[in-house]
Amino acid sequence: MSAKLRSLDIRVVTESGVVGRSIKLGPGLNIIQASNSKGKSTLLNSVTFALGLEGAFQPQHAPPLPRAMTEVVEQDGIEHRVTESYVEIELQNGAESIWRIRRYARSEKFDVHLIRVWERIGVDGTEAAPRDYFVRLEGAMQREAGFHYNLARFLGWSLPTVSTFDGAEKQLYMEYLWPFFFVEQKKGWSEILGNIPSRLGVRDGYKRAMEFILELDAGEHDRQRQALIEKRLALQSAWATQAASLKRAADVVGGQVQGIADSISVRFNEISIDLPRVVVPHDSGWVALNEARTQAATAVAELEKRPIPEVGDDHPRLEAALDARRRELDALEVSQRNVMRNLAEEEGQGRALQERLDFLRVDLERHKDLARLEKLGSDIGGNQFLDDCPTCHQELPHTMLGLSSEGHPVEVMSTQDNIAFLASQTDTIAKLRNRSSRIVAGLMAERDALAQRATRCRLAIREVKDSLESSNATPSMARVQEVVDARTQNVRLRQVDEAVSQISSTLNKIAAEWNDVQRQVAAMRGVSASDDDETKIAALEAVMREEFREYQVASVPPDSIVLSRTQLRPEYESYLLQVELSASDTARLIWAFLVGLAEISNRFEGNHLGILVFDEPRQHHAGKEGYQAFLRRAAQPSSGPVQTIIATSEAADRIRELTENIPHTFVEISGRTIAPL
Amino acid sequence: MDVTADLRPRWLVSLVTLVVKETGWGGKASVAKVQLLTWGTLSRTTRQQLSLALSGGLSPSSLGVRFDPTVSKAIDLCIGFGLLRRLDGRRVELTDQGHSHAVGLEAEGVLAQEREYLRGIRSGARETDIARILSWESTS
Repeated sequence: MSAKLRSLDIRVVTESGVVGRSIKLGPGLNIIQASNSKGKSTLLNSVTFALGLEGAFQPQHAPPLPRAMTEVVEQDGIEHRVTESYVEIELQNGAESIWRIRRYARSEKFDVHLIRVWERIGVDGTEAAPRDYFVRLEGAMQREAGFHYNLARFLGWSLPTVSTFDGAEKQLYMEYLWPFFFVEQKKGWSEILGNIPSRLGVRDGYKRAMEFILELDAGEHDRQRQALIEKRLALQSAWATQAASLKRAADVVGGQVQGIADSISVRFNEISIDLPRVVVPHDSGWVALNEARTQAATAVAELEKRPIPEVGDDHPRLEAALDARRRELDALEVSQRNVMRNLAEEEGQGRALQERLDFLRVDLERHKDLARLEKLGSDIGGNQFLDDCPTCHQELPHTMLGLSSEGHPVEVMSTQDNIAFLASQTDTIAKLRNRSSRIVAGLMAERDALAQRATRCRLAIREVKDSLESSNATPSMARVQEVVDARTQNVRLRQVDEAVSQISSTLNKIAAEWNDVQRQVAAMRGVSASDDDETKIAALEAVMREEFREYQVASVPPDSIVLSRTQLRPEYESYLLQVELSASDTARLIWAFLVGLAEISNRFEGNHLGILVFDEPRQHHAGKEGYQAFLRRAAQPSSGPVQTIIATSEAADRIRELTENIPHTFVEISGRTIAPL
Repeated sequence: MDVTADLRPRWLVSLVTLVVKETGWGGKASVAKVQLLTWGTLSRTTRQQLSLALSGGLSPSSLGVRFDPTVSKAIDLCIGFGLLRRLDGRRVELTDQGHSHAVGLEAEGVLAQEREYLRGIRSGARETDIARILSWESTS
């Protein structure tokens, strides 16, 4: 894409007349010259305003324009109130379609969020009826009535979907791209692309913008990797939910779940699960759920075979059953007491271990603080500190206590040794604590299972006693209850078994998806640049080095500059290049980077806008030759048309001298930019 | 043998300086206040107890306050290093050096939890509050 700005018009209507400025721009290099503080930045900021991109540089919705365009215009010492003002630009895309774009900075009729567009095909084409779009409101990028939605189509841009910090996926905002094409005067020159609008919430916004402009494959890789990470989080949540449901299902029959973790973490490269085992209490032990079902079904069948006897006939069996149940209850109560005692003991141990762990962690953090204090030494608040006693000037001991054993001072660990010791202790105690927690969980499950069995046993005793106390001729209610209980237990076990099967099936699906995601994440690890990407990045590196030589950068050897493959930022010896450069070289870095980016994007048919705007490019930092080299490159880029617009307060004569033999369009503004027309 | 960090001179001296800086009115504090607040800051349990006692939610007689000889030594070291100066037999004052040391601790992110705690209680830790606690007077 090679867009081009054809013209720029500012109109300010006051009570006394109309003021403003109209300028025509050409292809290639354009130099707008005006003296200091006469409004050159107003001209360039008007372009940003007309395109609705002031959000790249400021969060406010107020126009980035001076009072002379929104409040009062001063002429010959008299202030004239502004009643209406607008900015209008003509923007041509690579397909010869031209948009006349108007946006009002002040108007009673048109809101500042409205942009009006007239389109025509070709310079001599007829303008279509105007269309209105909204900007800097939610949806300007996504909705058909949004200005940036339409601007992207006009420019032939298919903006990528990117991840945001709140986990959503959105199209890359144009505000992230604009600083790569427009260097504004106040903050644009202090560091390279320092005003990327990170407040708009796109994760790695700078990198995403670079990937789009250069059309790198890596952007898509990063997006896919992020999507996999999000999917993994969702699977972890789903697993935890299912594991909890499984536990609840087992609880219905007093059972325990074995073979399934409560949660899965990224350390699980692969999950292989068989059906989770659920064991339920039976007689004096635990049996697998399906075994318990078989036994329950058999018990029901046996009971149903036999007719319900009368109490009188069933007496001996009932007596024997009562006796057995009483012995069973006694045994259960003994077991319960043992479990409760063990549980109390283990919980007590657990609490003691936790207290010790908390203490160790606090002491470890304090020792780390101490290590920092020792390392900083005299650097804290500029104070000489704490190596020697202030009175006797002997080395301060390692401890406030005078520790000794049999008259000999006890050797105390140094801070670093103590840190290592504490870390090792913390690790050991944490493992013991975790083990204790597992034992407590097991004992609690056993306690609950015993309680359920004891309750059932007491109920059974009650029923048998009721039967024995009733008339001999009545049906044995104990036997009836026995059948009912057996059937109920059978149904419960069946329902739990069905639930466990269903949950297991879901867990298996989650495990399969998890394993697939983990394989994809592993495959993507370390892969971020394709061969094509590497070619483009290497080319940009080479162009930047070439420009550094031409612009006579002195702070670092041009050939040592690299473009980081992970961050896509200029680096020198693994540090951001920014850090190593002098202030004057920073301006030249910005020239080199942005001009180079435009050239390489064109060479490889990337997505550069084709326009570069520099507001006061700090030419006084570069020597004459360096600045001329920059102007020459801007006028005749090696790989395709780029329109470069420079606003400068350099004297007109000097500009003419510098640009001799360099093709350009020169716009000289005498007096104020906003002047009577 | 290992020793807890609160018995290391550098650490304890830094904490004492912090206590005076964060809770001393006009940079001044009584030695009793320094003792009490240093004791209170050292563990989670004593922090909770001290906060409750200062707010009147716990009887001062329930606190097991210890006047620690190591804290007295630390105060002496602070005076020796020029971080504090003795005003009279019962009070100390933060020097400029002590102030810059405490500010430096914050800049380095050291003793962050202790500093946060002291800032949280300082409005309720006037000398009168300290005297009330040490004399086992309750607020009710």
